[in-house]
Amino acid sequence: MAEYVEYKREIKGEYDLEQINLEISTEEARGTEFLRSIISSYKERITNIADFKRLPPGELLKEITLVKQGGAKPPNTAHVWSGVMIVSNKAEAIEAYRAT
Amino acid sequence: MKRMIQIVSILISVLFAGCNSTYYGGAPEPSFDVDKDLKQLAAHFDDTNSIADYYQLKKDPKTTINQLKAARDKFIAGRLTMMNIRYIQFIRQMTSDKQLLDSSVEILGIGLNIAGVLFDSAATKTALAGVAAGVTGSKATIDKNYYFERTIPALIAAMNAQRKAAFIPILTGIQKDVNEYPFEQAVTDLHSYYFAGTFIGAIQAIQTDAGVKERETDKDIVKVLERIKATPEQKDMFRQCTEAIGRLTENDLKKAVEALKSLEPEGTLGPTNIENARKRLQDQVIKRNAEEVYKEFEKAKIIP
Repeated sequence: MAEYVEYKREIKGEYDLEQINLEISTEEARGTEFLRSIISSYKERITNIADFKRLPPGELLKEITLVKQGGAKPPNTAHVWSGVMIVSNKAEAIEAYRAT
Repeated sequence: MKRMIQIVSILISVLFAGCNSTYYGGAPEPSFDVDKDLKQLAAHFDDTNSIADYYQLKKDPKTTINQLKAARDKFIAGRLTMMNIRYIQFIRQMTSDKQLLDSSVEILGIGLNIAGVLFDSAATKTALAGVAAGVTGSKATIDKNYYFERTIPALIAAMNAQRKAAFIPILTGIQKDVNEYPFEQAVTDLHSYYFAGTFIGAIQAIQTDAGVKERETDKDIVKVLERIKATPEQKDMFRQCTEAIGRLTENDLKKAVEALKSLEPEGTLGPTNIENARKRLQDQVIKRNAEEVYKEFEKAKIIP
């Protein structure tokens, strides 16, 4: 299963930020770590392509939360990523924080 | 004697002018104000830089295919010009190598020509011409021998080469209509073009060129998984499955084998130790949907 050491998955740009958070945390619940996301063209649509890294079996990371840039940093978290994502069909600057 | 003093003064001035270059990352002080020019150009190009605007136009049933092509090309030219100017600024901070600057400026010239053709406003054309002249004019003065460590020039050379390669699909695409070269493809190509001008892009390019094996690995990475829309229930099921895998001990090997029998229909050999079983179970958690994997974990009593 070498292809799952690090892999990409689509996170649809039509989703709102709440659903994107759920998509990412659900992916992480499979025992992976969110690394980054880029806006890309995939199957003739502009969408988010996120990279995930597989963790050792049985390992789970603490909760990750994505907020729009300029939004309040969730308490007791550390900044892990910033970038641009399509959220509700609009490009938005996003920050990701992980619980500490 | 007076003449001698004049000559010495001139020599000192020249020497001090040379030292001034250290404030500009090894390049001479720019002979034009890039920031000011950029600001002026940004005021115009920002109007053409919106992805949303393109889709708004596309939605309108009255929009013709030629209007869509014009909007796409305007977007491309705007992005290209801004990326090119910022790239030159970026490179100037790191090198005074004339050859490297020449190479990066050359591509800006092509980008500006595209923009010059596409933007017919006289003010824009003048501003573009000013930047083009400023950049090319200033590079001609960069002949000073100023050496940074060899890694930086190597990376810049790789970036310049990658940018040229990434520029080809854009140049080819711009000749085609929106059906043959869709807007989405243009955005991706622009993204690749930007990425080609980064250190990470250059390092990856160097690594990729290092061997066929590396290229084959890259192909694998390109696979993109599509998932059904997640729900909080699915998230909870996955968490429970992953936590359960983390709790498995040698005593649970039978349970793991039982679950894998159903989850690995390809009929591979059963795991002989718990480490291998845990890895294979986690593979299934990553691969399958929540309900499927949770059901089998429950059935095998991996989840109590």
